Amino acid sequence: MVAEGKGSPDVRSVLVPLILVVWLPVGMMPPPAAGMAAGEPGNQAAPRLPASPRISAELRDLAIEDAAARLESILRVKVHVPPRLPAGGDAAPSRLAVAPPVPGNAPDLLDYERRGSFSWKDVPVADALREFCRHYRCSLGMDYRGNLTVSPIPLATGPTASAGDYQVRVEALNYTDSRSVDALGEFTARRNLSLQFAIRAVSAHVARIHSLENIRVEDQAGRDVLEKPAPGQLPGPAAPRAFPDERGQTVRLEWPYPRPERLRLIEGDLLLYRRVSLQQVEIAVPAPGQISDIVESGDVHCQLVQVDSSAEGLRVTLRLMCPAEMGVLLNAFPATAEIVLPKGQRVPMVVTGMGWGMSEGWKSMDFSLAVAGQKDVQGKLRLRFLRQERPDRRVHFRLTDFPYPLSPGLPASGGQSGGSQENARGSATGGGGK
Amino acid sequence: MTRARSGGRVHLLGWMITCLFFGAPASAAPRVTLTMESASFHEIIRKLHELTSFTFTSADGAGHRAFQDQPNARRVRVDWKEVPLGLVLRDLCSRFGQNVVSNGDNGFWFQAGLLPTRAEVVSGGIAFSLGAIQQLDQTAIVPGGPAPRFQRTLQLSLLCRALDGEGDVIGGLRRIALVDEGGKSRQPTAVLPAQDWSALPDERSRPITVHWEGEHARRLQRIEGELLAYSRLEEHRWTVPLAGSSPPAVPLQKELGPVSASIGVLRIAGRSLQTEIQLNWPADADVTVRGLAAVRVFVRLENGQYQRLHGTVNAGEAPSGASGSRTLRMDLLGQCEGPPVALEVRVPVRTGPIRAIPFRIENVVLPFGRPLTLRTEPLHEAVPAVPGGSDGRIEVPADLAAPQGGILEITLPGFARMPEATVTLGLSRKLEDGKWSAVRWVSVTGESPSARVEGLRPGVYRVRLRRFPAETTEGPRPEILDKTEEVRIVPGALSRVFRSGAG
Repeated sequence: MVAEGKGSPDVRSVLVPLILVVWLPVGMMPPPAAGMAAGEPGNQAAPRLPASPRISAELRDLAIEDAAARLESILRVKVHVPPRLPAGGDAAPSRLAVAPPVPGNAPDLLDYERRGSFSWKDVPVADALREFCRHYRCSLGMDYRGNLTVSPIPLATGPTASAGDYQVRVEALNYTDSRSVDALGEFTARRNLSLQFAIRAVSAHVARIHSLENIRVEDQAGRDVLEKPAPGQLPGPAAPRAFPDERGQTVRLEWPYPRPERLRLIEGDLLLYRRVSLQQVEIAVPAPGQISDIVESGDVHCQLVQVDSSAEGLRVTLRLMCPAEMGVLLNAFPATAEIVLPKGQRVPMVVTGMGWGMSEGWKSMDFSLAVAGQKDVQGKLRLRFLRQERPDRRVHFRLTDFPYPLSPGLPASGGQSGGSQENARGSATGGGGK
Repeated sequence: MTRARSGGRVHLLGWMITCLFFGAPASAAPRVTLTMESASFHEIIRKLHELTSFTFTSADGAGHRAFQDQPNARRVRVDWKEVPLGLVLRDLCSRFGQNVVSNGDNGFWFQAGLLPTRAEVVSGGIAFSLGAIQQLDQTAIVPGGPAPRFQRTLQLSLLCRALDGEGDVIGGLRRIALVDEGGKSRQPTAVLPAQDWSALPDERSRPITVHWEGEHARRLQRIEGELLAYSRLEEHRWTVPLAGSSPPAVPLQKELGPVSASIGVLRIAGRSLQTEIQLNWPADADVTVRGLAAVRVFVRLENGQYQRLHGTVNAGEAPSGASGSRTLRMDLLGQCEGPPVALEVRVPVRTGPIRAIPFRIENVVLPFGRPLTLRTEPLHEAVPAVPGGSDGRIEVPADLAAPQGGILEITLPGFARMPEATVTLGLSRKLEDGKWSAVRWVSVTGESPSARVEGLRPGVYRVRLRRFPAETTEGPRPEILDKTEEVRIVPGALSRVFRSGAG
């Protein structure tokens, strides 16, 4: 965060946003919320969910590498810009091709010479990042640790469909026809349509998003396919994205028909958690080499399964277990892990996702929590997270006449930019949108 | 072909075993000298393991130390003298009804069956055939982004089998062309020169990729080109003594034929050994980095046994030096099964005069030329019903259910304005003594502004509706709605509550 005109961080107005790696200064953790079992019958007041992160900063006349470096220091996540090609290595050395150009296709290029200025005053981080992408004609990807990577592919701006308090947009569409004969002569044909969706929280909390399901597509001739998840299993959940107010999900549909020319219908249901509540637990930090007791918060079980102390500091592995249909957002903003020392001093921790697994209807998630400069810790780990329950609210969405052709030689029938053309509720027609 | 160095010779006469290399692993793809009388498949592949250091395992467990033959197991006599391992494996497969594939560069995996038979074209002592062929047609669209991307590729695997069994001398491809039905010649985008993944030691596969412009071909008139074959394989060895209280100081350097080798890291802690080794060689040398006959690193243990080190291997063009020079970096780690006494680096290099073997494979039917039945009528697939879901139907509590009962419809006040609210319904039936039964709570889900309970036991009910607001981030917190009404349920009839709207 940069205070206007001073170029120094303004930590008061930053809620560090990005989903997986987070570092919070001392004192940023919100006070414990009253009524930690929010949403349970009988509770008269529901605690507020954490608000969307915001940013205030002034960036003046910067090329993309410098702007990314400033964002990195403000947001405290890595923002990787692919390096320029060495001089002489390309006809346009200030631009980068992400992949060798395929014959007939133009390469994707990043413009390193373009300069930009940004003035953000308490704007949502997601909006600031989108402005960054629009200006430099790029997009942002996020890895499992929460680090961001700049890609030369511009942000998708196709039509959006309204789904209650959310918007659903097709970010990318891939049609693949793969036919092969293996070494034993066996013939296989795999033909599928892959749709990459972005789900954006417009007027409700992003933590409510579970996934998209029942995705159904019709081509220009009315030939339809329907996504079929395994019986008894929920799809998704949708994955966090670079923009804190978004989730993403890719759906792949087997396509048994001749190659589609256009899609006249893309529809589905947005599945939402009916209940999202803020939880807090405290776990006594055991000695290195020991494991902690299990602390329960409703159906969420928390345990420190590994504690290592070295000259670099303390590192613990936290394991959260919950029923498979439940969600836990430990890394939601604001990041919420800190060590509370015996005298009450609070030391924030860096949280990194390590992986997850499923076993007998339970979901297990491991996180690495680290704090530098603290070796012999006698205290408590205070953890705050969002508990997501009952993913059973469905909101239908519908996109008609998707204007992008899937066959070579067909012209696009709709514009690729401009305002969205949404119907009153739950549907949109082609034509592009922001 | 001649072999500059072999890993040793083994002569087995009956059960009399003479091991001339005293446990050392054989060179990359050794020749086998083995005579066994009345030997089972398991016994033979166990001996091959001892001879070559490769692992030989089978789907039925043969090859494992603990495996025991069935009493009626097939037994044969083998008598191989200086036979290349590839031919030995083919002989084994033929006599025991087995198919075999390689496990990378570690060994071989058998299962019941037959080796695949392919149409081969023989030229210059090499049998050429085609393995897997794949045609890919992709369209990628980013709405609002750059123009749609259309990409077509053809990938095929050219299999080259040395008829004399000496697959190690097979090099890369030169001047390859794919000629389509219209006579247009296509050049590969990529031919990977040093990939030696293959099924058997006497053959090598050469993957070929073509970015295809225009419609995919259904057939190729021909595939033609030249395969390079060397006259011999030299295996260079570098032995670094480790005995003593501390490992030798690094860096260490050694010239191994055309290859410059250096050890940058060498750490020994107890039985744990870590090393980083880099090899550099000029473009005109041919060193295999993966697969059979590849670079390998062993630790020799105090008891004379050898143990192979594994780890991360990165190969590529050398960042500096002459154009096309290659480099191989290995970051290896191992837990030794005994005190290590030496590190041994083995670098096979194809060398000697190169032959260019011309080949031509004609009339290749491609996957897009195979018949494919496509559906033309829509599937008309319906979205499955959601249990207790969006149609507003509520499951009846068991003790209030009656097959011929009535229907209760509940108007859900303000539901559309509070879509994320939690709504619960408490049903209590009036008993004969005038008291009320225990309240049965059910959840109301979905988006419908009303909900129905069907098949409800007739009688008078007290219906309690509670609506809990969603957690909010802005604005005043809405209050919990809690209302109760009474209603009579009549068999087969519809009764309504909260018709006036309670929100």
